[in-house]
Amino acid sequence: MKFKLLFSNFSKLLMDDLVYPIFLGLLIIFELFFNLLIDSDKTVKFPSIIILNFFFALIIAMYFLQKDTRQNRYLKQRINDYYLYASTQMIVLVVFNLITALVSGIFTFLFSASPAANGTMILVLMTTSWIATAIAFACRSQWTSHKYIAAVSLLVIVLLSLADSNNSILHFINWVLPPVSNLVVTFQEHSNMVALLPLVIRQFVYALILFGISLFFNKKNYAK
Amino acid sequence: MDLLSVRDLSFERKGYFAFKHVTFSLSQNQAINIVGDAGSGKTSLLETILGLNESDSGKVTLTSGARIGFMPQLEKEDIDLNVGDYLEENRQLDGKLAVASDQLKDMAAFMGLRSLIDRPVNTLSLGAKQRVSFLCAIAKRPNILILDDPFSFQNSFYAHNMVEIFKDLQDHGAGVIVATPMRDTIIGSFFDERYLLSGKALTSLPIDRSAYLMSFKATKDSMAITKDIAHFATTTFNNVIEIRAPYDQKEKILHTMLEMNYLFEGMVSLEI
Repeated sequence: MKFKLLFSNFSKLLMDDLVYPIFLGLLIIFELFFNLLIDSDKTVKFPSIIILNFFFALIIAMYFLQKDTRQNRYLKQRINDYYLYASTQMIVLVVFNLITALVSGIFTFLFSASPAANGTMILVLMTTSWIATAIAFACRSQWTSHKYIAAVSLLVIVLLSLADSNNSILHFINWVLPPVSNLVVTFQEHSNMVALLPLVIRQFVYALILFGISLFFNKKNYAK
Repeated sequence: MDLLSVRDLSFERKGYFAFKHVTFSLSQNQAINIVGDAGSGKTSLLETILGLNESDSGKVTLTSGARIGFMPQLEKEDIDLNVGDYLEENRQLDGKLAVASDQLKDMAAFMGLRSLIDRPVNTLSLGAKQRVSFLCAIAKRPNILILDDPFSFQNSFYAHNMVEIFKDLQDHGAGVIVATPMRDTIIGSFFDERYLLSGKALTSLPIDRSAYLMSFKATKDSMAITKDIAHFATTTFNNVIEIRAPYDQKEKILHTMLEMNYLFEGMVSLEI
């Protein structure tokens, strides 16, 4: 019952001001006009869509968490179960990311005859969104107790996620960075969707770890 | 048995203390009234007790199995469910421990929400929203009931009905904490303990056992007052009847007057 109540509350929170549908619409419009505006091949198009999905998920998650802090203060008291509350938030955003990945995947018009390549494309977009959402979750204390530190941390993690993985300075810590830029570089080098599969798994594990960190480190800020 | 114990609790927000070194305890069948002017820190104190604020020092201890029902001053959530569904949803949150569905419907009717049961909560007036919020706090059948300024948008009739409901909970072993502004005289005498939150500190107030001056307004449906009550009446002017009620008869007089369709206008302690 609590899960159902929370799921519907969080879904409403995202749909209330039509921010999610409007952003999704803009994403589709951008994809439809991509060829007209940038006129480039898929080595530019798909990485652009990946980065766009990353920022889309990040902004939606930040909007959601900020609205949750403002509106759901007393709901948290009524639910009185931190792990259920935080995990339901994650599930809701993961479901919305899944929808975004499917919709933006369809409108890339990069489908091929190979189901493995098509599946990998959707998985790439999905796990990229999850990483962005997990980053926003890890830094959610920017709306409670760590207003500046968490906001700066978020910017740094986003920068490192998108930083060039071939950069000599970042080469040795590459394994610890979110693998978004790695994904982009790998696709540009191989132009093959299936080659991205190992990185998809890495992204998935990375998102899970970030979700886990956020779950345990933000417990203290639950009711604030 | 202590249901809740607050020891040396302090809370600082953005460089200033909302309250300092607050100590009190709440036991079964006890009702506590925390009075304080607007901005004195009542809401911060209640929210810190609930764990919605992280205290800077001190400790809040709850008895095992404590179920807290909390009614905030103003609900921040935008609820588009209708009143009936929202109350039922909240009732179901606490499963078997919650009040029965029919009982909750009866309480909603008692609180004047029968005609509003199909209206979305976010379209209600502040007063009606507050009553819905009150019923949500009650629905889980709490053993600790915390109400933050519950009478601010209520007329005397609904304020009195609220008191009836939480007195019933109290009689069944619950402890009740109610924060009210200083000007509130409607329910002052229903409490076992009264505290004043002023100058960041919580101090105990003596319970006033003196007489009260109660004011009622006659309506076209009002019946003639009985001989017993006429004995206490001091003035009748322009449909307003003032009654000087001894402390121990105040509740009985209030009940009788409400049953006879008089509108309760308020009361003041004659010691003030």
